[in-house]
Amino acid sequence: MAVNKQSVTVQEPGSVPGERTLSFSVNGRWQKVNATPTTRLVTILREELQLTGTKISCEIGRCGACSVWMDGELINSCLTLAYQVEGREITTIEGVGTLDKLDPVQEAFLQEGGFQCGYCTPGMIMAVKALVKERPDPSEEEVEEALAGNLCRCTGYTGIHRAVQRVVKDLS
Amino acid sequence: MVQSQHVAERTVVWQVKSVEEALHKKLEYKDQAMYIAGGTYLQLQREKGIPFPPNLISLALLPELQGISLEEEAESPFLQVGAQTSLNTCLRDPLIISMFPLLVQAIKQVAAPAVRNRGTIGGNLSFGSGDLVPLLLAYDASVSVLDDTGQKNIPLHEYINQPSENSLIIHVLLPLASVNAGEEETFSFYKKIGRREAFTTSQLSVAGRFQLSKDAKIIKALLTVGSSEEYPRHLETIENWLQGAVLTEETAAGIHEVVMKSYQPGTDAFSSAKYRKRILANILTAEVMRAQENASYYKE
Amino acid sequence: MEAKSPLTAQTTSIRPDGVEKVTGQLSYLTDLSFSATLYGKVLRSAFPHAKVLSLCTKEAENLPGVHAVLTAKDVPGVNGYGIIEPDQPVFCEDRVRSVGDALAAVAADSKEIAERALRLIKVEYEELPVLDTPEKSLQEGAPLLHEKGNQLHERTHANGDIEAGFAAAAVIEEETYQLPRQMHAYMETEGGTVVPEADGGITVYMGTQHGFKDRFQLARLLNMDEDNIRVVSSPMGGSFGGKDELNVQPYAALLALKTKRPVKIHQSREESVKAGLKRHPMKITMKTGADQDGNLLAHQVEIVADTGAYSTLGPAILDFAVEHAAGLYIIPHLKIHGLSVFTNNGVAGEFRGFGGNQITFALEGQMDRLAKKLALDPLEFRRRNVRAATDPGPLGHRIAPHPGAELVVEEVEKMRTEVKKEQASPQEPWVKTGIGTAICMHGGGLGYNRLDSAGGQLALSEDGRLEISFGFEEVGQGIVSVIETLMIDTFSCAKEDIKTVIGDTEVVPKTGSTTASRGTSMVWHALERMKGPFTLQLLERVSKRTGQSTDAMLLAKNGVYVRAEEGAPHYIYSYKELAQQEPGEDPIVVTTEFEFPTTPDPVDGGHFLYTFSSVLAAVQVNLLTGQVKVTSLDQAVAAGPVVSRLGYLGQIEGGSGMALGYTLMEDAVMEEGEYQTVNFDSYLIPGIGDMPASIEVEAVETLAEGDSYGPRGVGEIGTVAVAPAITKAIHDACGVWVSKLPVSRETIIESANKGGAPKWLSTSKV
Ligand SMILES: Cc1cc2nc3c(=O)[nH]c(=O)nc-3n(C[C@H](O)[C@H](O)[C@H](O)COP(=O)(O)OP(=O)(O)OC[C@H]3O[C@@H](n4cnc5c(N)ncnc54)[C@H](O)[C@@H]3O)c2cc1C
Ligand code: FES
Ligand code: FES
Repeated sequence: MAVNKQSVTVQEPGSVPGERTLSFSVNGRWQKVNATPTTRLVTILREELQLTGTKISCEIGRCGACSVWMDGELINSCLTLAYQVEGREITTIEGVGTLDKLDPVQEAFLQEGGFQCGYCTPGMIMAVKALVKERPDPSEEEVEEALAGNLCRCTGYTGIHRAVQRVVKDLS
Repeated sequence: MVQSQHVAERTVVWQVKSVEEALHKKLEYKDQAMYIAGGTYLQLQREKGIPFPPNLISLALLPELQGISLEEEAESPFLQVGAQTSLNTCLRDPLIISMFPLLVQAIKQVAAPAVRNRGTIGGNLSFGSGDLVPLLLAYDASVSVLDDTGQKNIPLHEYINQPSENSLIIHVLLPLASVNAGEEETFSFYKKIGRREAFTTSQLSVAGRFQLSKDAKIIKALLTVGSSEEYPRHLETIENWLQGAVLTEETAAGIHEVVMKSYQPGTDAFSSAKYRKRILANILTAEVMRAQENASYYKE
Repeated sequence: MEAKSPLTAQTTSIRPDGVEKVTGQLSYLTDLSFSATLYGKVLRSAFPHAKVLSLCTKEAENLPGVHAVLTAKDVPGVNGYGIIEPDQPVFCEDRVRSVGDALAAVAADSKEIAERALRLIKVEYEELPVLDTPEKSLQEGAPLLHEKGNQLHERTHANGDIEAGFAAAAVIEEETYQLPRQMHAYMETEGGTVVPEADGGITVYMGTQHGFKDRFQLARLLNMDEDNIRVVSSPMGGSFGGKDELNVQPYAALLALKTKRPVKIHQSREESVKAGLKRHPMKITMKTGADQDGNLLAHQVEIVADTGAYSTLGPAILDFAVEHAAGLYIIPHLKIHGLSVFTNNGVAGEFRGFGGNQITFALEGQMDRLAKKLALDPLEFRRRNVRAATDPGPLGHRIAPHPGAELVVEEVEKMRTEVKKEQASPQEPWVKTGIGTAICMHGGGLGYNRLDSAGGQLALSEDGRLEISFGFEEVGQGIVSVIETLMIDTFSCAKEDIKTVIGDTEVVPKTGSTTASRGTSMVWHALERMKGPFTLQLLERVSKRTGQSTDAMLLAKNGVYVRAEEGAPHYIYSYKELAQQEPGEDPIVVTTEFEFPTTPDPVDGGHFLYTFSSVLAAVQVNLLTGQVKVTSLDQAVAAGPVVSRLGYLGQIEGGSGMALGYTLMEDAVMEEGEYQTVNFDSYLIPGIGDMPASIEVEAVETLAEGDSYGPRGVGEIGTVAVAPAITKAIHDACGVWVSKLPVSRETIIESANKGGAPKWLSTSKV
């Protein structure tokens, strides 16, 4: 885990607890948000920044609907606290592709039926992107390992397997 | 303004810069403070209704708790893993991969990648029923801890049995002798059984290490279990029974009987004590068979 | 029509809602925010069964930031809801019957304040005995959960002479099957916002499977005119039947009307588990006899369903189970009896499969056990007994002829041959492999004597598009894709010529519920009815403007074309121009209303259109631990022509996944009326590693000669025959018959190892 180079003081000794200004980057833009140090990242994203592409479903790290990247690594935004995000770079689904220019992973999900209701999809796509970044040609076992934390109730995962295969093919 | 989920809480997060400062804060606030590493476990508990204490002492910025290094010069050489190392960092570490492949296998079965990117090895050893504990016990691991009496190395089983309120794990120490006993052959295994293929709490985690003499006799046996219902521990009766036994089919059958007689696990809504007992017996029988199959004594 | 096609994603078109979904741009109803919104929370019962002695909200009302605290006295209309019977109180007053029961609701400035306010509400209870099994509820002297007693519904069906049937049987099999309480586990929990409107009405932005039904139920409890209620109900992050009944709509509506501010409620997973519907746990005893040649003779069935504390669709689900108790088999002597019983266990209700999954597990279990007794191949045994295309339906009623039963048996036999060839034998001696098959038949639509009207509307929109509207909801199943595909098929128009309007009671016609696999069927029927008159209206307008004869013209991409003597028709008039209404012209609108096709015979709930499927499962059973890994899960489905390939494939693949969970791991365990599984750490659904990486889906498109009913829906069929195929595969692997779901690993290793030392110990090398 990368240690944050900036020195961060979330709470000065002796000062009153409560909100502080938190600054971090979201999808390439620096944001300043008032929050208590123990506010969850998912709450900040959805309620303060209106980035509702990141979903909530279990709120205990057990479903992956809230998956985002922090400094390029997949994390559960429901398990991550405001103070841990200070100075970091967050990437959400809104930072991955746009309506006119889809990311290859998004394109593959479209083509292969990697989603139905779509509620798990933003988190799933963040997880697939994290996978192919590290392993451009993953084995079936590696795909299963990488996506183990992302539950989908609609697809039975077969469409997601197809989507991953297509991405791998498209990227190679 | 964002309302915290838990506005009633007025938790202060202390971003300490040294281990001494961390300990100092802990001694200052005592049970009004906790260390927080990746925070995955603490946040899970909080969502389940156990609020954060008024003070959280963040270990994220402590340089002493980072890094993985090989301490070959020591009297008995060991691999030193910083407590703050994330589980996924462990998975990618070349030293761990080459020397402790079972640890890699065990970590891959802890939670899922997103949790492992945040969750730390120190956190796994400290929250109570971490799945890595049985394996690390079987490796004879130690931890270097700091508490009000100073910094010292203590065996992991001591740490988990009598954790001092305030002690801070700095490193996890994995003795190289546990995977390479020189002349003697070693056979180790780790199994985690959950209710689905992956990403599940453990119904039973079991780890074992047999040190073998040339004629396939077990001269040292370590056997540990843990589960979501049971704190990790050594199974001493079975260890004693194995001590001196020779790897044979009789031993494989015998261990089944010993487990069925002596192991007393708990029951939860999803699996009975009887089931836990039987799978432990079956797994150990199979592992003895496998050890026998692989022992060079039988290969020659 | 003769057709069969392996479905692959390559031959598919992309869903119209896809781009917004993969980019996270699609706002679900729980994502919407309105200014000045308050947050609502509902206080649920602390006990599964208790008298409520007193309820005090004073302290909660006084908490700063709290805007309203409502209880039973604040319900202006009927204090109850329920699709069939409104026997579930909006707020309980003197008695609670399950841990999901509501007592009060709070609106506050934030979720946290609302939560704190709930804790300040003081309720005094007097605990009552908990009836946590149907057996306890039916015991003499058991406290009555409702005035009408503890029995919600009873249904029977009989034919022939059951005793004579058994007397003539050479083999008889009797077994009791137990089915668990499965949770829908849609990833988006219930919720949304209710906004009070200036005219005193409300707009409800919350997911449901039947917006008009919600409107009707809300009007009843709010004592408000239906016209004052608008329900916006799409899109949804999954439902599977679970959001068909009202959930938090009443509370947000009451709070919004009281505070005159938008009120948002979004249940946490734990709240969703406690208050939400589940699949009915059932205990099914079957006694089935056959003669020496493997002809089924007699079948006696006893079903007891645990319906929980309130009715919702409990009676209809029991009817469905009774109807499908003999499934696609022709058995001369039948005696079927079903009971649906109130208990203090949450509420069971609608769930994809609608009672079919439970009964099929038992029925197929019987067939496999009988085949074994007769030493017949399980598929050969089935072949001797399945219905022919024109045989009467399972209740002896007339149904649309369909050759599906025989065809799916044929398909699964081919699949079995293939998989057998490929199956590798595992290295470890304690891992055993096995193959199993199962078949089923499943009725679509609500059935005879169940108000099941359907309809639709076609119009030329102001911006020159062919606007099609239905009262259906998009729950993820892909109805928008079905509509688009059928529109293109019908009018040869382009994608951009189509405007689809669904899921908003303000702008769509009443077309019935988005349930019972009826959507696809309904869209097709509606278009069949509307395409003629609609085309004619369009062409007449062009004809009036240009002088072309309507006979010479046709609709196609972007507009109207004139047929040529030779070669391709040429384009003469765009839909856009056509939409510019000239004086004296009426808007172009066609609507249709009709009934979903039902049987002409008066059998309550009897279906008319059925689909068929067969499943092949291959497993590896680990005899050390009892773990079961499903390595193949292929399915052949006979449901008429395929409309949207990706949609069809997705329904079967996804249905298979859900059913694999039902078989191997899912159970919302309750102990004394309390849920033991309140989130995804203890209620496990399959993860990616539990499913085979690919599933073969074979679409058997053949219909009976002269069939005029078009494509049938496939929303449920994919879930029905999976469990018995997997459990038969387990039997094939290790000889253990499973009669209780989810499969108990303990049962597997206990019976496979018969106590004592494991069999594999001395016989084989590692
Ligand atoms: C969804 C989910 C799934 C999980 N699955 C598994 C699983 O399969 N197997 C498993 O074993 N665990 C599992 N866990 C539990 C746990 O979160 C992880 O094991 C993780 O390693 C804990 O590390 P952390 O750094 O996040 O701990 P934290 O939450 O930061 O801390 C946990 C505890 O350890 C103490 N602590 C942390 N570091 C130190 C230190 N250096 N010195 C002294 N005390 C310290 C803290 O005070 C706290 O009491 C899961 C958790 C979640 C949320
Ligand atoms: S909401 Fe974060 S993992 Fe489920
Ligand atoms: S697409 Fe609905 S949960 Fe995955």
